[in-house]
Amino acid sequence: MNTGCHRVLIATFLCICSAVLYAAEPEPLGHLIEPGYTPEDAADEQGLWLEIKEYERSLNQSALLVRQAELRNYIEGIVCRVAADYCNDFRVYLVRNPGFNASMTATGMMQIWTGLIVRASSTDEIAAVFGHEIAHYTRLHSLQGFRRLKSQMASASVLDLGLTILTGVPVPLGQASALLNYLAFNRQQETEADLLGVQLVAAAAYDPHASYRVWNQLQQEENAAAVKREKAGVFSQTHPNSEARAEYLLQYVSQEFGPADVEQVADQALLNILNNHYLFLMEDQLDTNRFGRTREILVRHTKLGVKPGLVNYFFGETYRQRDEPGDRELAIAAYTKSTESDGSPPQTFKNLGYLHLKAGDVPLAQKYFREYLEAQPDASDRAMIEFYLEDQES
Amino acid sequence: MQANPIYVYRWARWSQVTACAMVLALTTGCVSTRTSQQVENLESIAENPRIIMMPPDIRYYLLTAGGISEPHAEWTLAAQTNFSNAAREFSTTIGTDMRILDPDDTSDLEVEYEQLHSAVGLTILDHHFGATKLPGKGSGQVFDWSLGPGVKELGDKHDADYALFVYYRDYQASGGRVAFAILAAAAGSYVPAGSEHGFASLVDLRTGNVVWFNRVADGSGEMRQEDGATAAVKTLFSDIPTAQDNGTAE
Amino acid sequence: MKFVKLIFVALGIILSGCTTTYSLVSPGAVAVDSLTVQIGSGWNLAPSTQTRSARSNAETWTKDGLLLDRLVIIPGVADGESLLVSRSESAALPVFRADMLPNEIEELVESSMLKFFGEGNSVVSSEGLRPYRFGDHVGFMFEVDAIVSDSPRYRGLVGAFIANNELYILYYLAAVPYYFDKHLVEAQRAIQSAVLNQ
Repeated sequence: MNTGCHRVLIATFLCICSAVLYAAEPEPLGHLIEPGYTPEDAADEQGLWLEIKEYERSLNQSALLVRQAELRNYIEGIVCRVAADYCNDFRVYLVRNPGFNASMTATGMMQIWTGLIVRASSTDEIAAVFGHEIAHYTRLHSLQGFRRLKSQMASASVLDLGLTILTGVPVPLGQASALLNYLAFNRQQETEADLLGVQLVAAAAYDPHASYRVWNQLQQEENAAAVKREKAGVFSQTHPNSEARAEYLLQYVSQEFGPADVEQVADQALLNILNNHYLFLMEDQLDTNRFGRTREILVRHTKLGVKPGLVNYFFGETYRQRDEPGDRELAIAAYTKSTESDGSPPQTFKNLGYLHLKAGDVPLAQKYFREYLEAQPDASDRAMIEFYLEDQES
Repeated sequence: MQANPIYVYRWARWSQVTACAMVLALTTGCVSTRTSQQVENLESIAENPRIIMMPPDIRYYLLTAGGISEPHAEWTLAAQTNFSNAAREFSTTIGTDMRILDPDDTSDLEVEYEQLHSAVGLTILDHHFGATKLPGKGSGQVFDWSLGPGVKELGDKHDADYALFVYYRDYQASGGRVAFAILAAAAGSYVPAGSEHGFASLVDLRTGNVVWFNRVADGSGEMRQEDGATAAVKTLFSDIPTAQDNGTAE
Repeated sequence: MKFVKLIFVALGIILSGCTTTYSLVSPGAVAVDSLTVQIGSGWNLAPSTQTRSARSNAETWTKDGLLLDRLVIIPGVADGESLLVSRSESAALPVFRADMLPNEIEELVESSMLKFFGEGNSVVSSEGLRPYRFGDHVGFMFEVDAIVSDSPRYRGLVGAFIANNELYILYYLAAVPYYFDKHLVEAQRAIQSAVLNQ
């Protein structure tokens, strides 16, 4: 049987397996380790801990680490509440990265990206993500994965050699896919983490229905993306897809905890965090240049009740930078709306000025430029703005 | 959610550097150490020149048959401990006073200079000892590298005249890896069975100048054993400038 | 066996781009495509294998090595083109538009540098946007600041102007502490001396 046929068979087998996994009635899972766990005799585990410890040290010193107290306290508070007895096992690092990610290592080091906060529509959703990560830790998934990789790599490289002999060209195929495999907790581990995570969330008095809302929203964002990824990213290749996951979790949570509340109350804690740090959090998202996704997030924030001055400023920014036909008018409308609402930042005036300049309306542009300088007397680009205020011909 | 991010992180950041360094090591091959010494002697206002050693960046890995670098805690800890002890002892033989900074006790200042030094050290490997010379910098004939006079702050903080930075990576081939390498060679491929590379640099904290730099490749010494560590320290620090007239030189 | 080993090593070298040649850029007037800059002392021109994300007619110069400092000259970016080159379509590299105002070019540069250092790996900010005349063309300058994980911090100085619907941009990027200040005066003079050949 040739390799192509082989692959199809394996893929089919895996598909059937995962279908079976999801269809099966899940049993409640427990933690595999006690609070305060440290590795004992396994040399490879110690080695892994050391490597992680080094990484953690460099993370602690990273310039991308968020040190802002309110943000850190918010995140750490959620972790501790969900972790319950295991609270002291974790060190939480909030890192400036607009992507959606939270990860956990075998040593209890949690890395959260700011993009997670931007995508949440409730604190419960953040809690659900943390619950999942904490479950990976208490079920020792990292170490299992590492050991699996070791054995896979050894066999994979023999495969490489075979190909080399056959083709005369060194092809590191086996290595790449084995590594990818390691990055994934396998599907079973992901399911375990989902289930145990939900239990932790509910036990901490957060809403377990938030667990599937996260995936629904991620899927919505993916659908709204203007530029789809050429091939599925690492995240998609190594996790059950968002839709399947949301469905499965909805079933499980409804069975265990009954239906979701119809009324969704605004989450004041999350709202405060977003309102107080919006510029900081959303600048990075805007910088990704992924406008479809950014728009989707802004729509969510509007519904959530984030200050309209802030959200509309970023709508303006998104349209202005996307600059497709009709976008300049949309941007002007959004910025103008922002200036009339609570929370509008001074640069709204400036960008209105620039847009009107582009549209050829110099007096109106200059009006906004003056308002900008009034709102921000110490503007670092004062020289440029004054240039446009003096230059009647531009 | 990504699983343990370590290997992706390391892979992305260091794979190119390591590949480059390894190729460099291979090509400049036969010579096991390369040193650049810029000063005759170490000087200090104190009786002995005071050196602080930045937390040594030493790592041992087991290179498995599949080519994965598995961090080996026992070896790394042994090597770090032996190295620190050997370095401390060595420093007295060259008439200096050396302290090793505690890695958990560093502030933004040390981190800033460690980051800068990595960039400078790798640049020295590349442009001074490597095959890509910078014609505007004397094509490797001139050794003029510095961390800048701002390091004086580091010197004042720790009461030190010089800072020693050490970087060392050792990939030990497992039995499986050696076998694989042999098989590969038989098939006409080249697979590195194991390797080591590192460098040490001494920076004058009053000027920021790298006054001594040593690039180390193969056969420097087995740091997992005490006597090996002593040998490694000797090789790593071979030709390090000594203090003047202290009578205790080896 | 040894011969085969050498071939593979040599291939490895060539393919890995480790061994390449820098050439000297001598002081005086230097033409980079349609731009001319004046430099007071020599710089090292980086070979293309060391600057894989660079456009074909752009040049990257360095004094002490690319990890420590670089002076990048990018002439003639046309409408719809990006400042850097990438193999991946999903990289979403921002592009230049001929009707861009200085604040938009500022954002273009920030965004491009972010992609260069790695998304999620860095944070890039800019400030001090001010007008500047490059020969016959009115352009502008500004500073940038890049915080990059696991790397020294980089600061930069950017100069740019638009002529004939094309963007001409020069920037100096160097590590802090020390290296940014070390070559700033020279780099600034070079950037500010840029003129478009007629």
